[in-house]
Amino acid sequence: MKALRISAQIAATLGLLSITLTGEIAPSWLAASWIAWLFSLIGDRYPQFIAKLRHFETVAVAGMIMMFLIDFLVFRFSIFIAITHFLLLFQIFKLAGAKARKDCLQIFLFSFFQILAACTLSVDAWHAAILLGLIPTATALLFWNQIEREWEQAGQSSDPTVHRHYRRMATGICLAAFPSNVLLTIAVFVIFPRLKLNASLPGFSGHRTGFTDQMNLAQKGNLRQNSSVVLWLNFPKAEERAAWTGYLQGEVLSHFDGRQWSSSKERGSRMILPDPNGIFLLRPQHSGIPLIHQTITLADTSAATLFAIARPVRIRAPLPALQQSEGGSFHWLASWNRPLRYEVASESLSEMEDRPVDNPLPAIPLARIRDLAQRVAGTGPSQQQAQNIELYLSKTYRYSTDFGDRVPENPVDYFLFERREGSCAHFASAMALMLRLRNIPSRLVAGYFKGEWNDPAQCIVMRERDAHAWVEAYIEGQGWVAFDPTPSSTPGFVSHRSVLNRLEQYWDYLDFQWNRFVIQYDLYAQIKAFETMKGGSERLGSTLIRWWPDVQFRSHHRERWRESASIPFKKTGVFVFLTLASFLLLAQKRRASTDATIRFYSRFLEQMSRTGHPKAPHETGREFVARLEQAKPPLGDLAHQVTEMYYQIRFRKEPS
Amino acid sequence: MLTRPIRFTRFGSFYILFSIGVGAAAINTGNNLLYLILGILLGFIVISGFLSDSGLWGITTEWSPIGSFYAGQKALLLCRAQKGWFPGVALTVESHWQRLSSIQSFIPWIPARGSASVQVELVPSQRGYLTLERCHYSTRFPFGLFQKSHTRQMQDRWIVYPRVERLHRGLMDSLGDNLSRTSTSRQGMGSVPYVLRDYRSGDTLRQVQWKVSAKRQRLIVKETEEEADQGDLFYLDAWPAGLSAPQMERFISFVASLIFTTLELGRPVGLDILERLFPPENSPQQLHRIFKFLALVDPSPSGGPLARKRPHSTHTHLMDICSLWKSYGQSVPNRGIRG
Repeated sequence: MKALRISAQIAATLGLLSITLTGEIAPSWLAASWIAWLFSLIGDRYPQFIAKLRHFETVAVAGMIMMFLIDFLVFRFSIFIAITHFLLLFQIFKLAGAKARKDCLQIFLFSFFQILAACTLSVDAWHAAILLGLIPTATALLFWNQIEREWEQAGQSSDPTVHRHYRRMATGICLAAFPSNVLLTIAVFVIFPRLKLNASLPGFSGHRTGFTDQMNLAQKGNLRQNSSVVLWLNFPKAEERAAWTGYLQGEVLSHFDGRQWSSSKERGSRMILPDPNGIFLLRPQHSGIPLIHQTITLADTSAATLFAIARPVRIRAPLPALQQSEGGSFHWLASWNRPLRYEVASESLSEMEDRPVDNPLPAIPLARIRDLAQRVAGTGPSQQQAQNIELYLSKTYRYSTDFGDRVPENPVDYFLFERREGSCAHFASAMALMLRLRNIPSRLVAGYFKGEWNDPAQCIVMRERDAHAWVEAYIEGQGWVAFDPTPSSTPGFVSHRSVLNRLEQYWDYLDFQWNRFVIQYDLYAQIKAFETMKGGSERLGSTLIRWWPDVQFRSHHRERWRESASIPFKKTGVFVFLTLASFLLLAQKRRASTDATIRFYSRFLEQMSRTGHPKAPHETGREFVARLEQAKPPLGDLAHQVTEMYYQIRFRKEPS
Repeated sequence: MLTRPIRFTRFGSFYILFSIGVGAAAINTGNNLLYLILGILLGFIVISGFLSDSGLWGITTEWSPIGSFYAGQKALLLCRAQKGWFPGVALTVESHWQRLSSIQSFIPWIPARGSASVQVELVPSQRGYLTLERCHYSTRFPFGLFQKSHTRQMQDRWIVYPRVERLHRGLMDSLGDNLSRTSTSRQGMGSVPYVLRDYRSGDTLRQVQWKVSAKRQRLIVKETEEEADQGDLFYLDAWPAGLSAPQMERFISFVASLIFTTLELGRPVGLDILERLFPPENSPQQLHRIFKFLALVDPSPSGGPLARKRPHSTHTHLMDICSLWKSYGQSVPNRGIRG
């Protein structure tokens, strides 16, 4: 019973851990659950409380069902969150209450359901650890549950001697079942058909990232610095990575109403379909201009935006269609609720398009900003003016993630003349607006900047905190040219050398691989995997086919076969054959010769050898005993009895 | 032939349905974590199947009786279960007996290449052969998802003696008057004391009377009288007519009880029924010989008179079983035999 309870406790730990790590459940719920978990460790000291709790079990279950309905119908939680709340409540009750066999089984089942619920709420890499921990825990718990059940049904109490055997068996099963189950799980995972019927996955599509197709400046308070990984960026060639400026473009926002930037997807957008190879050809490639190849793995696809460096020429992605909006950003319209891996080839060129017709100004008081723009920009060419504004903003204003304690009516004016500090969005908005006031077309670009180099994964990790905004200005003869007025945006990767940072890098690497090989495994990847396997088997088959006539030829020409006796194949074959034959002969001989008496005597000799008294090969049994009787009289007496019994039974002789 | 029928347990049925549910959810959502959980669930099924099969592999049982079996009385058998390369965990052995309901025995552990024993109790309903037809071995090891089993035909059988009970005191008292009391007044190997004398070389220690020797301060041995009485021979010329099958069984039980009670009094006893003669003898072997005969005898009425001549000796008392049965039946009309 103790083993069963320990297993149930471990299962409860895994369940609560998985729910906690999703980050989707309110801290109060989690705190109550963990307190109940702690109480379960010392609950045996309070039997009266446990008995009372048991008394109210039916009422408590009814209350939990009511709570579930209230959660779902009144508080409008998603079904997964409501179920998770219900599971947590039940788990709290069970952990605090009695721990009979059935209670332990129920604790395990609720823990399992919690893990299941957690799998629908998030897809992070720590699930791997939870699932790996679940296998031996479930093995031990199911085994002990069954054993206890058998004893209950037999109406007997567990025998300590038998229990010792059970403990060994449980350990053996856990050790043996773990690799077997992992292999079987991988096999099922790889082979089971990916026939996605409905893409509803509410937990995953939650707002994990701050990146949207809108950028609101009218905010107050602090900007949350979230370290969640948004994407991994990988360059096949080091020189291409060196040529990268650090900007990863996402959404192009051209409409500004004075408080908020937004894109206009409908206007001027076009639908792009992939070619038979799944490649989206976006625009013709300029000859002589080197391409930057990049592979991007989007961990969070809730924004439905494809990120790319500079000017993408072609994209290879497992998507049915792409939509290119007016500003040149790319989106997908089909539902995609899991990480997305795609390859992009970009040109390091500015966008060569016709000058935009309209350059709308927001309907807000602009007099002060206009004056400032005129004073700062000067009267030079467009590019010069843009550079002047960029320099002025980056030198005069301070970067801050604090938006202040009030929501401003005119955020750009508030930033430029009152607060004089702000985030990248304020800097970029101010510059874009000042450029427009100088009659230079401009737009805001939202994306990611710099990121963090991950050594183990050999790629750049972009986190939510790396989200950035900058400006593109239309310069005659050059097209859309990027400017970044934010002071802290100097190119170069953030580099930390602490141990924690190294560990974080390894964790990110694990997360990357988890996403790459587990989360993104879909029908496309499955077909690819099967094709690889098929190719491998075909290669093996063709090798054998090439081999076979060669072997036949050699067998027909024995002289030559003898001459080529040194080839490894023949040697290996002969060795394998001889080894197998020897084993078979030995096994047969042993089976034929060893009856129970001989086996018993052999085991006796083994035991004697283990105790430090081996029988010498030249000694007969009786000679061995005589030597032993002299060296160790008590042991010798025992050996004498056994040996005489052996002689008597085997050779039908009277004991000497 | 070794077969492995599988039956889902309640928990196993729930498990399978749950696995199907997770599989459907995985296909529906395309959530790869659900595929992983499905893989784990299916993995447990495969491992469970392999382990439960190993748990039954190479299992054999040997059945040996503890004492003799009597109809209507509790009988004990020792079931020794042996196992092959893998230990047997929480096994249930269900023994199926001819004309008896099956009996389940729980064996918690059988070591690998070893054996474990369990005592089985049963009550044979009638005399004759007690036949073990087959053994059904089953296990829910390791996870209780399925009950895997296989059946082995056995055909082991043991003899069940007729029901034996002490006879009514009245009958025994009347029988005691008729039993042989003849004495030879000669020294011999009987049971009645004859004389006490001094110890001589060659006397066995069993003959020494220790209390008397202590009193007299020298070794005294006891000599016994020679048994002249050759015992009592119960005879039956023909099976009693007009008895129903249960009554006939009671009659045979009465004969067995008669033999047992007489032998218990320390007298040589014999039986002469139809074609079979068991000369009087005072030994346990005699009891088992007669009981075995009575266990297997077919009490159908015989056709003619006794073919052979009944042996007669002046020292043997002949008693007619039918007349004893009648007198016993009158004293205890309803049951015949008193328990």
